[in-house]
Amino acid sequence: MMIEKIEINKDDYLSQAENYIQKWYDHTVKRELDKAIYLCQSLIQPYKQILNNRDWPKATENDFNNFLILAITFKAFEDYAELGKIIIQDKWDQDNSNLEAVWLKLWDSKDRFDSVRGKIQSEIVDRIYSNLEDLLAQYKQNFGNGLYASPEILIKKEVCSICQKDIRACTHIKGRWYDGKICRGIAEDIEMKTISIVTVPKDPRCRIWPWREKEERVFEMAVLTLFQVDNFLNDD
Amino acid sequence: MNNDSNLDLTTELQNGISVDDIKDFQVLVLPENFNSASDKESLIEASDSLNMSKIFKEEGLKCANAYDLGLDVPALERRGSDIWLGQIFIIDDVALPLIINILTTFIQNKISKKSVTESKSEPEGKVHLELKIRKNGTVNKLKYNGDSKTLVRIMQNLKNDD
Repeated sequence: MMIEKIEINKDDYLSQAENYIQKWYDHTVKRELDKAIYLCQSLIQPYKQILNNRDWPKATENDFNNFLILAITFKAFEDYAELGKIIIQDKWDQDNSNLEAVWLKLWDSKDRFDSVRGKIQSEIVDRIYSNLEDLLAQYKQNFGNGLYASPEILIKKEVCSICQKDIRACTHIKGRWYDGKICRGIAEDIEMKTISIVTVPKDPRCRIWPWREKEERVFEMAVLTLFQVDNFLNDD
Repeated sequence: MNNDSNLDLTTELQNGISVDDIKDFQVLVLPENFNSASDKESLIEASDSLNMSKIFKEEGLKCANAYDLGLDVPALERRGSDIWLGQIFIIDDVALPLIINILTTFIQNKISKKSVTESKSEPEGKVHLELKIRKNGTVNKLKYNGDSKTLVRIMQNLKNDD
């Protein structure tokens, strides 16, 4: 299946996106998950071009923020459809690698939806989000709240992703959206201090799974992931 | 500022920061170990301090953080979901209600973002804050490591007592 070339209707890109959200949903209801994934990829591509190339002179800050919302939303839909490809398999939850893969996709999708919820009004987004919460509840029921690796990192030098200045010297606020970009601190000099085991993690992807015990009380686990809700925009 | 009337401030300020350095500010957002670090090189900025100080400024408060006061302090990024605010020193008690409101909103926004992704049965992250309030020549201190709801209630009481 090929990625479709979609022209963004710059005069009414929001209605156009609404139609595609419905189309995506129809695919998932019919379990046409590959089609749902390709649709997302076909839309993310032009949104990404607009956000990265900035070749739309008439666009306002609000337009760029809207394109970021749409790109993240369709990436969350793509994560959800990929997760769906695993959980429609019979006895998927009896395979540990499936359980881990779904856990990661679940959080990728959820974190992305969290970053746009309140910014986008869509019954379909709410419905999918609710499905993700149900799936999370199933994990809690079967595996409890879990334990997670949590590193402490000392950041000695950090620049702002928006203005490239020392983050302490500018007015941009980490996590806020500016002109279709999310403000972040780009760490340039760091020191890993400790790794703790916590019950309330910042990143649930660093979960310690019981089947990952390599020898008595020695577990294999991720201690840090590089996930960001918009990191797909930097992919080539 | 008269030195005698600022004895309370002089006692609280360390690491080369003088009363003169802070005379133009209403609130300071300081490293979490500002009063316990053995020297300037051991100071550590809490992970949420920088955003907090920027929001205070954005809301029109005269606020200084460690960097504004000439301190080069590394930030400690903790991956747990707790909120780490370091030391917030309210020098001008006239600004207390506004500062408490901004602080409350900041904490509630961070917690509500997390509660979207956490079930009600799951333990909530804690808030870590040392709050100092200078009023009538004395400095009152609150060191808090606990849940957000209790802290918000305590802060509302502080505001109402004003």
